[in-house]
Amino acid sequence: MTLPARIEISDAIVQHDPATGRRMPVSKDAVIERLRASGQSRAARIVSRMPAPGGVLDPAHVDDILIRSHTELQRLSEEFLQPRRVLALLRPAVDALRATRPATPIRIVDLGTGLGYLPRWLAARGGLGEDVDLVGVDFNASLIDAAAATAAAEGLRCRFVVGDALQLQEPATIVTSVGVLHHFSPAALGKLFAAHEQAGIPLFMHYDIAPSWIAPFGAWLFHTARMRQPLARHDGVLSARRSHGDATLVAAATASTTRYRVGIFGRPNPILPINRVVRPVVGIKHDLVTPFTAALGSLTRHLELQP
Amino acid sequence: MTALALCLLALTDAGLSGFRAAAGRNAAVDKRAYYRTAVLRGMATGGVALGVIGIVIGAVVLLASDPVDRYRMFVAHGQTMLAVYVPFATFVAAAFALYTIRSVDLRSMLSTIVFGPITLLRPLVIVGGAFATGVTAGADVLLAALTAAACMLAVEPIVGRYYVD
Repeated sequence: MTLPARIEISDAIVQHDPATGRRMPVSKDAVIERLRASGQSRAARIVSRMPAPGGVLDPAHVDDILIRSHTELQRLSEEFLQPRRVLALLRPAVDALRATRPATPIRIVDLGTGLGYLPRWLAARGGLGEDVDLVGVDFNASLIDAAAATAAAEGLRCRFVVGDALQLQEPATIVTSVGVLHHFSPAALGKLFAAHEQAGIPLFMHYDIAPSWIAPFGAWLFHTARMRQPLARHDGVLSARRSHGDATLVAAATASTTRYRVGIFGRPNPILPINRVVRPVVGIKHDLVTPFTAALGSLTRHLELQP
Repeated sequence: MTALALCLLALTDAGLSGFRAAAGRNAAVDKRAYYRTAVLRGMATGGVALGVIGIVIGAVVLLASDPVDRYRMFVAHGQTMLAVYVPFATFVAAAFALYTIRSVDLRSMLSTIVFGPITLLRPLVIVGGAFATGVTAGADVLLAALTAAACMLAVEPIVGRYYVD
């Protein structure tokens, strides 16, 4: 008998109405049953300890766990210098946009921003310029509130919005994400990339764990060594197993869009893939490819765009 | 000299324990002051731990029939502990030295192959150093060494209590 695909606890304990974005009540028993059905008894035990008045998971408790888990996750981003990796591509992207679309405001939108570490770091250390609007978007209002409060406490020039990153009133010019793509099935990935094109976004770069023979062990090691929340440990290790390979990401993006050159940047060493834990799938509108690669300079050798 | 070296290693380890206790609990971007405080808290807690260890060793030495001989024995076994701790500490120090090179890939690799694994290995090394004395030492030396190991392992959870809501 084949078990259903494993799921991350954080995906199961929070649900939003796809039409309205409104948060919906989540039955604790239903989540536990779903986790047990997919053979995740440890995950089921973690959920069984969560308070659920009237059988519905307590949203305040869930949010508290998510905020703690995201804070621990930020620590891993700090340790692996994730924002610096993103900045290495964002700088040339911003330069290319300034050169080709001088009248268009540059708005970098971080999809599934969580606590907004990337926009906040870019505001504090990125040096991208006053003309660059930094926006973090997430469906979870509590995470967005925490992100906005943290940014305000440090006086950072960035903002946070609850909702769909691809349906903002003021559209993005660059869409980024870190550790989000593995939450999408291959079919849903295609829809996500197609939505970028429909929204007219000139450039996207989505960073996620690079699957490799060592990634599951590395994820286990780091989540054991660094994380305190059982949910964060569980989901972190599972995310390394669920992450999409380069071929899947590129195929999904090329099959669902026509206006982008798509590729992988900074593929890890294939034999000992420990130099880059994450790498992005990049999509660049055709007219931006030349100015972008010119601005990228010598790093272009790490960019493998499909023809 | 042996006691001084062990104390310096213990204080350094306690400072790093303070850092780890604070890490992952604060979402700010600029955490320099936060981590400075955490390291100082770790070192202060480590100082208290060293005091406890000193009292235990002092009591064992003073209660011995020949305190001078007992003290010399502790120093000799302290050197055995150093033989375990110094290579580990040197390895960690070398990794920190390499970390000063401003390469994102190199720093990521150091985290992957050094800083992550040593976090998990550290308790084993600390306890291993204590047990290394037990091969030839009497029960009192082993008890003191294990007390020292327990004190060092307690620093991180104790400092962590400052950061629990």
